[in-house]
Amino acid sequence: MKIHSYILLVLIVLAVFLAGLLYGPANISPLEAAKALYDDESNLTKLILLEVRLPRVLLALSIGASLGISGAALQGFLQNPLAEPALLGSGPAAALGSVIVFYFGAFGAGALILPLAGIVSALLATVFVWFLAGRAGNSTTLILAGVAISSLAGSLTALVLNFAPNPFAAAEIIFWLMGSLADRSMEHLWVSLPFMIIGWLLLLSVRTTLDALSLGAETARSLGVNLRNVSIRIIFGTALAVGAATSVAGVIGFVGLAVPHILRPFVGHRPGSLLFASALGGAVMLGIADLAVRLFSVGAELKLGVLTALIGAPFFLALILKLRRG
Amino acid sequence: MSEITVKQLSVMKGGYVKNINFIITSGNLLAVSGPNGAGKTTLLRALASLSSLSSGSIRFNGRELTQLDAKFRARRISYLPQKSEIHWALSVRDVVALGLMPFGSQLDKITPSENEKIDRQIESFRLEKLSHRPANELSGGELQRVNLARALVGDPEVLLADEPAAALDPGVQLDVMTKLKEIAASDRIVIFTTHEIRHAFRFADKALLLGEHGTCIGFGEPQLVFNNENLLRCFGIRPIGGEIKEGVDFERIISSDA
Repeated sequence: MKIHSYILLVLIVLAVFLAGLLYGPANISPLEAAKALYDDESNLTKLILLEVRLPRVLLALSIGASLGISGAALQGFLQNPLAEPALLGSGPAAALGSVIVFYFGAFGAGALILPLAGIVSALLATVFVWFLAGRAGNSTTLILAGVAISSLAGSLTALVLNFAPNPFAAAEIIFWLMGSLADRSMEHLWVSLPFMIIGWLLLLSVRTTLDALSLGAETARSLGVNLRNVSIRIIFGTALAVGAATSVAGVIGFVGLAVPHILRPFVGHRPGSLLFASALGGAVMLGIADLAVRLFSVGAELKLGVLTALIGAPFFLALILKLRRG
Repeated sequence: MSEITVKQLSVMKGGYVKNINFIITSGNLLAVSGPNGAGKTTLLRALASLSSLSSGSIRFNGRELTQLDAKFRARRISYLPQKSEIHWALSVRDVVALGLMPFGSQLDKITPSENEKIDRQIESFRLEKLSHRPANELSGGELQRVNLARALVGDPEVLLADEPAAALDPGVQLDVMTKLKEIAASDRIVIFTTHEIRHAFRFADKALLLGEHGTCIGFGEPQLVFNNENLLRCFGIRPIGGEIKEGVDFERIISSDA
């Protein structure tokens, strides 16, 4: 991908950011918004812009970027076009951690307890996957370990739901699991963003290696790649990025699978170059999806995770047809 | 002048070879042959530092191979695995460029001097017309040319090729073998594995014959290594007419005392 394509993607991210800030259920014209922001006094418009929309847009962009870059990294590392960020178990584990907090009603202890619990359980699950998969960095055992941890986390989440103290708690958990960015504050951003950034940096640090892995693990090793080192960075990078994302927004599928697919031809199918492009693409996709959820919801807000899943199913079918055609 | 010295080499994990000894210097094409499961790939992987040695040593220019830094080693020793994998639709040019990775090259930041090296290989392997094609859509012969270009772009001292002519049509097999001979003649060590004794006999300067359970049956001039006794012992075959020479065919001898 040429530099001007990256600039174009960055400009689209900025446009989505501005649109997310300016458009929403409350009618605020760009002029009104500018005026309110420059007003020293606090006012309702400023409150909506800075306390409601700003954290939501920033979270949508950073979570989208996390899912996009993680999907691209895992597809490149596992040399599998169907790999997606939750594959290694950090997403489901983060969801479980947060659901346990719901169960014990511990979120009374502060808004941050929910994302923190998610991040901690994502990391614990990742360490577990790491030990389970062995240290050689073999992709098959890694996928198996990830699937095992994912299904364990999924069944434990179901168990928590099963024993939910009351129907309200159960409903709360289900809504949370659907994935949403409603009612998130800047605090959520501050608690999750540092983890996501560390995750992004870990993943970007292996971009050259991912290119070499296109030729298979054996050739990559003969080119001087240390597979163990790479797998540590990929496992912990995706765990931090996806764990932090899931712990704030719940489960959001499809973005991490689709974005790398859509952008791959534009980067000459280079897995390394796809990382940064997919981060930008993921930000754009989730930013637009969240904007759509806010603008087009009637009555109860459509959950972001539900929308991405709805778009995701036909995409999966198209992918299967494409693979079948070979 | 480069040199590989293998002493009392045994590998027990991920394959099996036992007590292998040989020395090979630059300018030589070494054919490693033997029946299925004799450890040809295992030996080649050990030479590429892809499997750990159980005992013995491999020295490259006097230094223990296992002690060398991975990048240092990768710059000097190129490896072509038996099964060529290209997982994404990378262009032929990109695949060749990946051979420069041990030198710190990055696909999206190729320098003019790196471009020159890539161009030279593309030209040398007649890949000009294919250079922007996705490498995973090429025929077996075209892909093997791309792989060789990738292996040579960094100007290595050693080329290790695992069954480089397998599954190719007879014409392309001869192209590949001729190319390997040329590469060795340009002051490099080339070691390849093969089942095709005629190739080993015709092209190689030295041959190493492995028997069952990874033991060394013979090392030296191909005409000495592929003698009737060794061919019978390793493959259960003998040359038609009783004498091995260029272009000879073989017949299967079922029992060793026939």
